[in-house]
Amino acid sequence: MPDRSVLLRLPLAGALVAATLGLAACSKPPPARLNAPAAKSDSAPLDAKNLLTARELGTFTELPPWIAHLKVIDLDQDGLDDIVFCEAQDNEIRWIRQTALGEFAPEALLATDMSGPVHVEGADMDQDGDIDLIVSSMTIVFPHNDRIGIAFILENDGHQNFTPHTILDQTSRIVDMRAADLNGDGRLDLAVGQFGYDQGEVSWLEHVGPGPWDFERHVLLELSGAINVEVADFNGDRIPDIAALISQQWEEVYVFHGTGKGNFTTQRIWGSTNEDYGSSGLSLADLNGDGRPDLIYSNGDGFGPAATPGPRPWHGLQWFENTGNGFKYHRIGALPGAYAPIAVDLDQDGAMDVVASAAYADWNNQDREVISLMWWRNDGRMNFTPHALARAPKDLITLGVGTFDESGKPAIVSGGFYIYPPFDSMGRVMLWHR
Amino acid sequence: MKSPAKLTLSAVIVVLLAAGGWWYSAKSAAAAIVVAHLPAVPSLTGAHAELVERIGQADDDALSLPTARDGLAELSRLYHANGYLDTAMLTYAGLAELEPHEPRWPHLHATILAGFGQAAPAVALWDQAIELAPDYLPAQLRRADLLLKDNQTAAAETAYRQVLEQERDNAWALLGLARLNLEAENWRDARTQLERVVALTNYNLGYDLVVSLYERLGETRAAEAIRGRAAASGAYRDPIDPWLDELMADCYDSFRLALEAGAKARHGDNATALRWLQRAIEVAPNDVSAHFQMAGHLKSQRDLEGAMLFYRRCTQLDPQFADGWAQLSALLAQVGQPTQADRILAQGLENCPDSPGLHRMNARRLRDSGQVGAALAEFRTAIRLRPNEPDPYLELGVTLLGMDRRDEGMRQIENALVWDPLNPTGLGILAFDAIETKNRDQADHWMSQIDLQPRLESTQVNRLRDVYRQAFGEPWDD
Repeated sequence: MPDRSVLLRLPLAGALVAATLGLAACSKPPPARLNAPAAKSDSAPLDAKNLLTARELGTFTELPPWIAHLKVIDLDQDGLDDIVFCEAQDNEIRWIRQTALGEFAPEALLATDMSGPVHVEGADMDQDGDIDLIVSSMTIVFPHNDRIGIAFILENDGHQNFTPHTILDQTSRIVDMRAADLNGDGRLDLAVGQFGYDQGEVSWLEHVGPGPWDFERHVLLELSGAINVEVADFNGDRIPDIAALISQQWEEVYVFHGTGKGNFTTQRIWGSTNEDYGSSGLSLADLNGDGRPDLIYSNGDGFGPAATPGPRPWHGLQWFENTGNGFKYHRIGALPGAYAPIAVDLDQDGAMDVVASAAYADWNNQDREVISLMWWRNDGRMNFTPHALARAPKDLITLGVGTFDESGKPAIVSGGFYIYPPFDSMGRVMLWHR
Repeated sequence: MKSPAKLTLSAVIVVLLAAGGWWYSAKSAAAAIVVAHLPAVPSLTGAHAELVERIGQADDDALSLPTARDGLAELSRLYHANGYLDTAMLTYAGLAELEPHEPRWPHLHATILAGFGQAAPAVALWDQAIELAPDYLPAQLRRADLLLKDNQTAAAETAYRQVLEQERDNAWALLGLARLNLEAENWRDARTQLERVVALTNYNLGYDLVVSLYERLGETRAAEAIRGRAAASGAYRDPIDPWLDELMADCYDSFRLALEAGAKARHGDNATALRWLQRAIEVAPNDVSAHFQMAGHLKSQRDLEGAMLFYRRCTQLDPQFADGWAQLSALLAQVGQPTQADRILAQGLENCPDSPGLHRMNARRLRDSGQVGAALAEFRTAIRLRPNEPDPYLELGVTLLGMDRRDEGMRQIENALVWDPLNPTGLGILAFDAIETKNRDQADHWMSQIDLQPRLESTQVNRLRDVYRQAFGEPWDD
């Protein structure tokens, strides 16, 4: 009996084992290994270094440039784009005037004593037909929490002679101001981003009068780290709204919806829990061509608790699709040290592309082939393919788009800001055209 | 006798076969999952050779039946620790399927997603992690933070309160609740929570928000008292996350290690900071920045000999790096080796002739050795090389004042305030001078500026008020 039993059991066990093995082998055939790139948007960029020709427009001085911001604007309204920019180290606003397509007058000084200017915009603030300049000043660009921010308006006399008016001071450091009629009274007000440092705000300055430069400040958000503000009618109610990018440890994007007469409701549209995400720039564009303003957002601020600034694996670009009743986040791609995202149809194929610069991404890795200017080509279906446009000069933190040659193709203008060694591979105000 | 032996043998064979079958089956199933989730190896151009080798080995292991699981786990660590985040997420998805009871996988995966603001999938993963590890507070805090950022205020509040149920003084949970209350304009509750947060953390958390709240509530004195503590605090500290920290042992990116070491030092975890800086230098022996940070860290721990060693290494690795020379020279002077300090400073200037910091140091050295004329020239060189820095103007001004060249000195102090209008030292000097020279308009101007500067010490402000009253016969009316 026992022998039989064994005889019975062995084949049974064998059959069981065989069955198990067979099941293991056959029930779930191993699928193929994932061979697709980890993420298309973060794949290696294509080389496009020959796409654009670079040309220095600025005048170098003894010191490394501190071009904190530039704006492409037809300042003298002669039908040609000019470049107005902030030299934060010299406290100056300067102008490179385009006299004919591709031809430029010598750099001109528009204003001095601007106390660390970091952003300049143009608007006819006094409604006299010319373009005044709106200057945001931090006074001290490096980390500082004193209330030393200043808002200037440079009044244009019609001949590009400017008289400065201080419309706000003794306040958190100001980094961005945009003009719009925010309360519907027919006068231009200002949306204001105040980085501060430990304390900061997003606010708006109501153009109250009776004088042409009298403004009253209203705080919308009490958080430090505002980088940019943008004004647009995001929800289609024909009342201007304000978008704001908040960096520091918050790393959030807000929209303040105008409800009329200068009232706003606050909506946080996105936030990262990574306190080191490095928010660095926000710009406005109808990226998908649906008639609604979207937002493009870069994160590449590499300053942090290391001895020097540098890249992070999450640095890059994303856009917020305005769906009409909210915003949807889309990652565009990686770019260490990403700054200054702008929308431009660089290849003129009808789809809006994105270009961004990079800064402070290589100090510690001098052998690395760091990209300083990147183009994400849009295939028209919002798939973006990265193209490396340039690897020098480095540390470009501001970009603009304009028309600077007979072809009518859009060209890019960049500004360099050099605060970390080595002080080489520098560009001041450069024109990049096809 | 034979039958029992046969029976035993048969039993052993059966057990072995069954175990083998079970093992093979389990491993096969695991391997199938691993293979299904095994990502393509990303471009490793520029990566550390050892990292490349380890990824290659782990990838091979992941494709091998007995080691598939371990290979995938190793890949997850290597990819995450070294910044290949998209790839790391794919591995975490596989590991979670393979080990559904391991809370680390959903937590680490969620951490990456949440960094990109991907609220819905991250919260779902954290729900899993918290169910598996209800005591792991970093997961709960991160989930709560993400809910807050996603405007799910009620859920965020519940999540923060759940943390407080486990740890009643958790400062991050209190801070989260305070943010919710600020957004809801519940000022009183927000104030209570923020005051508790700053008390618990010695103003390392909540310092920023509580000042704005005090100012909103009109409690200027309380706000100014906190503002007066630092020119720029940057006080925030992320919650400590041990599971995330463990990854640093597999990091080959010296900059990343230095960053995380800096964060640890901010938390006061100096031992970990030191360990990660050591690793940063180990993986990148020529990384000047890591050496510089290590030197600074050792200096902060009063290991001056160690600090000097690393500063010296900075000067060898990159002689054009002016800060290395400057710090080494300053440290040599501090430990009583002035000749050596001067020699290093001279070498630094030779290698970095355009360094404003080194020229300023040289100016001080010359001033202190009585060569005042040469010192003035060096201060002016420092100013020429970096005209927007206030301190060289101040030092030049003070040096000139010390030479009884008052007007020139005061001009330099005023120049400093062009670049730093609320500089406490400059304001104090200018106010005192205006009072002393009985220039009432100027005295009033500078005293009004001083009222805007909370960082000026109260004893100095009181002294200025005293001399103001003595000079003008009435108190300064602010």
